[in-house]
Amino acid sequence: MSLPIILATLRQRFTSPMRIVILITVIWMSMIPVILSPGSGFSILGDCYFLALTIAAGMIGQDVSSGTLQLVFARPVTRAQYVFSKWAAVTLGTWCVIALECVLAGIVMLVRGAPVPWGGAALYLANNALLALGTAAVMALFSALVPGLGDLGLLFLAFLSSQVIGGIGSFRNWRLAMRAAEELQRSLKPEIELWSLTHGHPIPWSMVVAYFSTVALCLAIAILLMNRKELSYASSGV
Amino acid sequence: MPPRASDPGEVRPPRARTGSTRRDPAILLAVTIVLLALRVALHVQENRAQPAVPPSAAVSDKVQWRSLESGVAEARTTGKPILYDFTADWCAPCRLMQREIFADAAAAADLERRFVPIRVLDRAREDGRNPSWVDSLQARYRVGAFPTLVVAQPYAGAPVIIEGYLGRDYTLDRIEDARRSLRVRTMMPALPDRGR
Amino acid sequence: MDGIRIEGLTKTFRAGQVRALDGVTLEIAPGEVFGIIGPNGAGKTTLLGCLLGFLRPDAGHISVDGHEPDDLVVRSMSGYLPERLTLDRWMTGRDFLAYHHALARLSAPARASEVATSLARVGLEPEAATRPIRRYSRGMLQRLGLAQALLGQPRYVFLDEPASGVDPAGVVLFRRLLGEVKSRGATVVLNSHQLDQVERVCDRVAFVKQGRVEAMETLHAGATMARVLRIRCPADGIVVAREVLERAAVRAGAELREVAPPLARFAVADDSGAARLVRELVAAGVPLAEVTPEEGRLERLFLEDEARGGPA
Repeated sequence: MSLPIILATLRQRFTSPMRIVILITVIWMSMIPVILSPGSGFSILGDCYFLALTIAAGMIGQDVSSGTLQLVFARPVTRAQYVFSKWAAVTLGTWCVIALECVLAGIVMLVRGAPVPWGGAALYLANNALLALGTAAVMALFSALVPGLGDLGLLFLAFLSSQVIGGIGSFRNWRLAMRAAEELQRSLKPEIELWSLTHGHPIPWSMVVAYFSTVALCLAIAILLMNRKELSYASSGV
Repeated sequence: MPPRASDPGEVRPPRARTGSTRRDPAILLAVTIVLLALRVALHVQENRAQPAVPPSAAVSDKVQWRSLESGVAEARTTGKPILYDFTADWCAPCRLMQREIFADAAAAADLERRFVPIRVLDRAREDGRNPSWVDSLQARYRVGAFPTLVVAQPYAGAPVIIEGYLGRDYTLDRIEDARRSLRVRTMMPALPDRGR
Repeated sequence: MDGIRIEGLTKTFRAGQVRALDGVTLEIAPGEVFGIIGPNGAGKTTLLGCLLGFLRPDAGHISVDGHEPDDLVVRSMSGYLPERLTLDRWMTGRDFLAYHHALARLSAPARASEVATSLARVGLEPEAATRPIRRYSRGMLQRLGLAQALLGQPRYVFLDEPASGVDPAGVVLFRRLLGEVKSRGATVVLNSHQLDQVERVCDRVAFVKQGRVEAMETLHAGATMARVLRIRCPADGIVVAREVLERAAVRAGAELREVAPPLARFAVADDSGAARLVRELVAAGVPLAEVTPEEGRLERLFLEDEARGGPA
């Protein structure tokens, strides 16, 4: 990991006016159900997927399209360090926003006189922390593939493809296609539902393994791609 | 770290790292391969445990319960929400609900018209453990009691969870309410939200 | 004694359709200031890209102090100024230098002072240090880029068009900094279209064309006279004494190179030096029938290439 890259990425993400506007809008909108129904607990906030995408979008692709990547790679930084640092920065940034959301929701609950379910808060934070980590890994892969904010487009295409594959599979009764579509959708939004662990249910091993395999695969491919990326005005690969 | 020297004959500073900046991450790749193999193995095991034809709790059950895979696929193709019936053979309210709703031809036909029905039978008491797909679904929808009906669309919208059985009319009304609220909420099917 | 060794370097793009480098072989000694010149599209930037490890050659080999160009050791002792200065526009100048100081793994306690020194060294005002880079002029960007490239006094400095867009004061500053870099024994690889600057600072120059090194010139680095002016006196006029010509040259800051009546050749620094020389000659009463600038040594390479039928 490279601490300078992590800090610079965090600053870059949170000084982007467009990003700030989107984050504030999403946070405020998520407070509305809490204000209307303060006794419903933290799960009413929903998950942080959209927040994670907002922070992660263009995490590598924008460095490529802006041309700043050359100067970074002229320094003693391995490309793997660069990818890991970007992933860590986006994850940390999302965690901070989730924590802020949680704190705001807690304040609303207190002000409205509703009890604050601390266990629910911990579960909410833990579930979304894992979702943020997983989403950042997926976006690291897509962002390493395309410049600028093309990773969002790629994500949308991937979801669309999974729907098409699933549809064709169910139409033709092709189990493999249906299963592939389901796995693809699960991989595009990697998460672990921790509720079962807190209610005496057995550990959902397939969910846990699927999550970590998706994260590892995305990061591994992102690093392999960056290791082979050529940086030059003359190269058509940039 | 000691400051860089300006003397041209100076050897490079101590603790300077060596190795290619494009080194492939061998450990990560190994971990990835192992996890992928495990994922495939667990998937195969899950598939073997999942019955092709789901069991019905009673012969008089008029609902054609789908298997999980075909049910989800059908829901995606037709756009109908899934109606999960989390039940157990030892559960008395479950048997009552089956007699009053699922064994009723008209109610069963109506449900099949509007939903894709999937029965999730808990066998933890009888067999000591459930198939992993049952555990996964129970974990996903936080099922802690029976009967629990869950109205959901695959990867879209927040599911509606109906715990317990409070009578035929009440249950059918709640199921219909759930279906309507899902139609309103599922405007962005690609971005699932599992808040309650 | 290692330096940079390039052997049979070949690089193609677009599945072999574009042959940017074609068997380039050369050596750059430690402490040398090495220039690369050539027409547009010759492969100069590609060559720099391969030297910096940004591009992987299709054939051939590069070693920098015995290591691969993309080795961490080489990255630790290199500084790079790209031609296209796309810096992190949201950072201030100080933040940017501090960021690269940290990326270069230089001493954290000394960071603030070394950044301040670097900014002062390239002539960036204190006010500019706190201004976001997106509000920098082209000249300021170039200075900041140079400051970044020289952080930590790297042993190898790669400069791609370092004086591009810089005002004359900036050009003088650049030459001074390069002199300091050279005096501490660093190796400099300089890619530039500004031939007079290259002629003044480089020890050797490679003329690259269509991916090959077509010619190599050994220069005397530090020579301040890059241009040659030829004067012709009227053939039927008075013969001007050599001493008169020498005195005029000294007063104009030029050098008398050759006297072959009615011709004489002077070395001048640049256009303004040439203008001063002409004024001094006229003031000294030297009758001038013709004053013609001769092409510089490097310019001659382009002209000879053009004469052979290649596009300049």
